[in-house]
Amino acid sequence: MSKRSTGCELVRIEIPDYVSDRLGSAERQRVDAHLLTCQSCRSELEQVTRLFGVIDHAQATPPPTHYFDNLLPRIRSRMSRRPAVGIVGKALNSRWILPTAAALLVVSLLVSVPFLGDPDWSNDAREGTYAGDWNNLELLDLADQQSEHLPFSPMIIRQENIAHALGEKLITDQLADAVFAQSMFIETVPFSNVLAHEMLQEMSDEEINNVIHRLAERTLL
Amino acid sequence: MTGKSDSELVDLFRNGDETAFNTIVLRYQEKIYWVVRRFISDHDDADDIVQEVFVKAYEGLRTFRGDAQLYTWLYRIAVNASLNHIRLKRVKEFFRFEETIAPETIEHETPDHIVQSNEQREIIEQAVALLPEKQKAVFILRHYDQLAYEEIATILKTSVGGLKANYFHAVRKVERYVKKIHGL
Repeated sequence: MSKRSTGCELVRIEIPDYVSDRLGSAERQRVDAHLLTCQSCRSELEQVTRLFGVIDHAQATPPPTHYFDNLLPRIRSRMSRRPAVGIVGKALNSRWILPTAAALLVVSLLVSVPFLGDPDWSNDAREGTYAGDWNNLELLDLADQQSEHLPFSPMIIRQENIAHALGEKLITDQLADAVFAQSMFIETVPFSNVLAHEMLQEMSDEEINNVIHRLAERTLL
Repeated sequence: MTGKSDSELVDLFRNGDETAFNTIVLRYQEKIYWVVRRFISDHDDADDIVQEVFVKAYEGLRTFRGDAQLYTWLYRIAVNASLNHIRLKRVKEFFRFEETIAPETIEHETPDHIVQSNEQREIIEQAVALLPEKQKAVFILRHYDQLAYEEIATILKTSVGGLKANYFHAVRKVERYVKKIHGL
C-alpha cells in the first residue's frame, strides 16, 4: 500500500466530521494539508458536502401539531393499562390459547435434537445449532443475514431463538406445564432468546400460529 | 422541578416522587421521538415505540445504576426498541412468506421544490434503512443527533475504536445510494 493511499484512507475517514465541522484543530489542519495536494480526496469532500446538503434539505415530516403536548398523558395511560408482569401474571392474563399440544410437540422436538445428536452448542449462527436435523435453509439464510447485520449484538435470530421463545411463550400461557417447560427451555439451554421472545410477545395469535405451522412443517417433514 | 439535574430527578423518582418522571419525559421526549423517527420513518410506529421506551424507562429507573448518563441510557433503550421493531418486521415478513420489499425507485418528473424535498427525504430514508444495523445506529446518532463518539459507544455498548470508520462507511453507502437513485 502506498503512502499516498494510506494517507487518503486516514483523511477520508475524517471527511464526514470535517464537513460537519466536528474535527479538532489538529485533525482539521492535517485534512486541510492533504486536500491541498489530493484531487481524489477533494472529490470525496465535494460528494459528502453535497450529500449533507441534500440530507439537510430533506427534513423529515414533523409529528402532528400538539403531539408532544399529549405524549406524557398517553404514556401515563399506557402504563396504567399495563397488566401485572411476571410469569404467573402473564399466564393468568393471557388470551393466547394455541393448539398447545401441537406446539409443545414441535418445541420438544426442536429442543430434544441437541441431546440426541451433536452436543456442541455453538453460538455461531452460520453453523446452525440443529444443522443436521433442519432443512430450513430460509432460516439459516436469515440467520446469516442477521449475523452480518448485527456485528455488535449477540441477539441473532436463529432457529433455537424461535424455539426457545415458543417455549417461553408456552410457559406464560400454560402454567401447568411451567416446571416442565422451564426445565426444557430455560435451564438446559444457553439463553439468547430475548429478542425472539419479545418478538413473539408482540405477534398476534395468527402470526404465532403461522410460526408454529412453519416450524412444524419444517421439522416433521 | 424543571431546574433539577437528571441525577436529582432520578433520585427523586426513586424516593417516590412520580412527578420527577414527568419531568424526565418532558425533557427528553423530543430527542427520543426524533432518534426513533430516524430509524422508523412511519410516525404512528415511531409514536408507539416512543411510548414503549418511556414505559420501559419507568420500569427500569428504580434499578438504574447511574453508571451511565440518563440520556445515554434512554437513547440506548430507544435504539434497541427501534432495531427490535425493524427486526420484528423483517421476521413477520419472513413468516408471511413475503419477501422484504425492496425500496422503490422513484420516478422523476420535473418536481417543484416541495415534491423534490419529499423525494429526497424518501431516498435518504431508504438509504439509511438499507444500512447494516450498527452503521445505521452510528449514522443516526452521529449525523442527526450530533453525539460524540464516546457517547455513541456508551449507547451501543461498544468501544470507541472503529466508530469513526462505521460512520464513514455509512456515509459512503448513503452517498452511493443517493447518487444511484437521485443522481447526486
